Amino acid sequence: MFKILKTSLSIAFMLVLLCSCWDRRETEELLLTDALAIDIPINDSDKYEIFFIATKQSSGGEQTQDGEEGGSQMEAQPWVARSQGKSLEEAINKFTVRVPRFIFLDDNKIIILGEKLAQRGVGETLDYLLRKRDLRLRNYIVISNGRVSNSLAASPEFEDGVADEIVAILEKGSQEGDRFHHKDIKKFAEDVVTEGQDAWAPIIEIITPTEVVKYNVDKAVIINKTALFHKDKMVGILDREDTKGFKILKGLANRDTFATEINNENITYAYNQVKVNRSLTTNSDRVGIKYDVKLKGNIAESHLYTDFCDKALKDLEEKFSKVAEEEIKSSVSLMQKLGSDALGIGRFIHAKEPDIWKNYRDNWDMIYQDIDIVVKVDAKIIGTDFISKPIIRKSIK
Amino acid sequence: MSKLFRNNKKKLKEIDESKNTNMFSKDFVENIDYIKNKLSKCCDVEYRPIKIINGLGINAYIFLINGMVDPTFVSENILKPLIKFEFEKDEVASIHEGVYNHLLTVGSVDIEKDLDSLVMKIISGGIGILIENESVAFSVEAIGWKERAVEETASETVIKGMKAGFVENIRTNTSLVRRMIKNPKLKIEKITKGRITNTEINIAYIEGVVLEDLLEEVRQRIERVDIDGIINLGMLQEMIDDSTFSLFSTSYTTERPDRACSCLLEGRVVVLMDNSPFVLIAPSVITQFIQSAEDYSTKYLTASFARILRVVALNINLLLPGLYVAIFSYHHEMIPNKLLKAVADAREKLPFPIFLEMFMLVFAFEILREAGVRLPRAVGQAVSIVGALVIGQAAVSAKLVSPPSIIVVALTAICSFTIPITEATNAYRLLTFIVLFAGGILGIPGIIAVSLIILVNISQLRSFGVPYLSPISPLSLSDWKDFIIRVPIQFMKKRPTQTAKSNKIRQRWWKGSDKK
Repeated sequence: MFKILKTSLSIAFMLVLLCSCWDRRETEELLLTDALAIDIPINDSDKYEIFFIATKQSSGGEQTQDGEEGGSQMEAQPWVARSQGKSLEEAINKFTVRVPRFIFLDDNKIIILGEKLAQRGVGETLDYLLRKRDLRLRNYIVISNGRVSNSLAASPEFEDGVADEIVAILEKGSQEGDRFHHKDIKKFAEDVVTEGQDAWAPIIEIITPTEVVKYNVDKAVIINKTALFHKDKMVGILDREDTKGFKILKGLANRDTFATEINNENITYAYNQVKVNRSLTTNSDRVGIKYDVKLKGNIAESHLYTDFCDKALKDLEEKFSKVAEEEIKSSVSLMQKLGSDALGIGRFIHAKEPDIWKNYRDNWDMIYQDIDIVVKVDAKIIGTDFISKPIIRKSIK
Repeated sequence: MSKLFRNNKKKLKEIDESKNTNMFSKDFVENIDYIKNKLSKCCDVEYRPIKIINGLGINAYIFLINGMVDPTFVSENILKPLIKFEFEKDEVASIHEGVYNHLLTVGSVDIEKDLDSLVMKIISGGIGILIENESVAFSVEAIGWKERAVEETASETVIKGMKAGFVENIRTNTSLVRRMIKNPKLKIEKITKGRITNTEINIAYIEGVVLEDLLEEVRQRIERVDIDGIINLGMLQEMIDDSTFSLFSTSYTTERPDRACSCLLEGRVVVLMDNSPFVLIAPSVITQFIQSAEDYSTKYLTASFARILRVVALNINLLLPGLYVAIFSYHHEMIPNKLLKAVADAREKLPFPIFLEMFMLVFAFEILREAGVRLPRAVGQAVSIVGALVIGQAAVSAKLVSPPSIIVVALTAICSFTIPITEATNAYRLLTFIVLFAGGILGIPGIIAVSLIILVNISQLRSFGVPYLSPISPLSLSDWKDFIIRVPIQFMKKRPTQTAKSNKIRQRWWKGSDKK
């Protein structure tokens, strides 16, 4: 009996230490952050400028004074606050004196880094974020084009706040090709610390919408560029076209288009299957890398007044292969020029030829810029997306 | 205090003394006086002298209790033959033999040699007939009190399946069982319990199927009961139950004859009690928590789906309020972002912590349930409307409770109604509170601890020698055919291993096999 009592009391004591009423925190006491944005402040007295993007809870279903049923329910308001400090922790702590709530970072979804900060080096910031207990590794990491404060001024078009809008674009981008164009903090950090591999991250940009949509928003967020890193510093940017090639080689692309002209008529190829095979080539003492890219897709738009016979299709396939090849090569040469091995070629050589890597290791930065990267694209046309032959006759045009 | 005990002892002695036998004396008047004395101050007792046997005019006396006998039956089948019929005195050895053989034209006639026994028969709805100069008397069963007809069960309703339920009359109940199991192997033993109430208890079982040890255990436990009166089956259940200090009851009650019969066929013992529309099933195991009588009336796939639903509902009923409080008070990181925001939004500016809010709601629901059961049916509906709509809506509007908490409590309440066994529902009602407190004070570790304590408790329970957790522990895979999923009937060839060790085979494929 005494033994049972002793065991029960020990378990009860341990349970109380594990989790008990003093850990209790009501949901309404939490400040639920959606995004954490970090940048370099304009004045140089402090090292970091930090922004919290949170959702401020509404008062929840209050009725109007005239007692109308349903009442006016206040929407949850996005809330942005700024602080700065000599260190990140100091900047975060400065919030606690002005926010009567517990800053709850567990549900934070995205970390936005300023362009300047990225160029200065993200190592210190990354180290802090990775080692912070309540911040999750699945937070997406994005780089702001310009200052973070400018990006946060964007007006969300479909979601409640900017953070939600960015996450939604990253996760469910309208083009499926963009769906995998996101990077979480864990993968990003892995790329930074891995030998023979450089990191990359999507860039968020603010655009002023055209006449058509300006009635809805003043500034919209778009994500179609990629920031390239070398070690922990951002070294350059891939634009929309180069990002397309980069994604294909990284195996992240699912669907996108290549457009070209034949006889002054537009023709667009939309691929929906991508297979990338990379292999090492050794030519005398030089090691090269070869990318075999196989695309499968349809002709998505065509204004040619010809039937697609086998030969014509063959010619088109060759044409598109060439177009794709050029675009991908342009992307590769830019990456080499910037000295960012975001494709992980060094890592690949390390895995396949460890002996060669031993020689390359110390001078990889130099070698990478001169290494032979061959890209071979084989674009296959499965069919067309059309349901009829051209309806608008040539004579009408 | 000692005086009180002495008084009790004295009373007990008086009652015990009443059990002493008192044989008929030769003095007719003395016998009559004795019975009159015993039944004195009972306004419902009627007695009258009569002259029996036409022509002979022998003095006799009849006793009956008004309201307990059928007057038409008494006048047509007892009084009329006794007074008007006759027989040759030389043809019979004694008057009482003549009366028995020639005058009493009814089936259930007992010859009584003991006065107290006769009194017992009279108060149980019999007619006592005393004849002058005879050393025996007759008791004729003429029960004719008003009773409830066999109706649809109230507590275990089904859509498809038998509608009739047990009633308060034990003989009607035994007949309902007998009608389903027309076999002389169905044995119904009688035990009378209650020193004052003399309540009839019947133990029903199928000979050859039931385990002798189990039967003996049930018999002994009932025999051990020594109480002044048993008013309802719940009292008997509690007295013979294994788990006095557990929330779980190790014997279940049912109102359905089909359920009772199916238990009998599985080798269980059914205990019937007079004046109780419920019967007791022993032994009972945890698998019966999710078994409904309807499962065998519907297709096995539907029945299996319903059982899976019940398992889910059972767990929701037990854990949901506790988990809701634990997660939203301690483990916010477990909650998806949008859900957390929605709940935080709904709880903004509420005056109570989430634990207190949930406790109040669950408690209010229990009050509503209790009120709904106690109040007359017509008013009960009004209470449910007031409770569900007015209080719920008003509480949300007044910002006393949040809509998500109402959803949680409503779901918990609905899930509690899916449990087919009343004993299980009652146990879970209390356990829900315990889990809620554990979740509110210790978070998820607390819920895990409480769940483990519950598991330890039920795993050491036994119901009349059968492990309560069987067939989960000890594992018996063949019994799983009728547990969470119900396989087609033709695959259930064996009886449950724990209750029918000696006679397992229930179904055979080939024709011409011996019937068990």
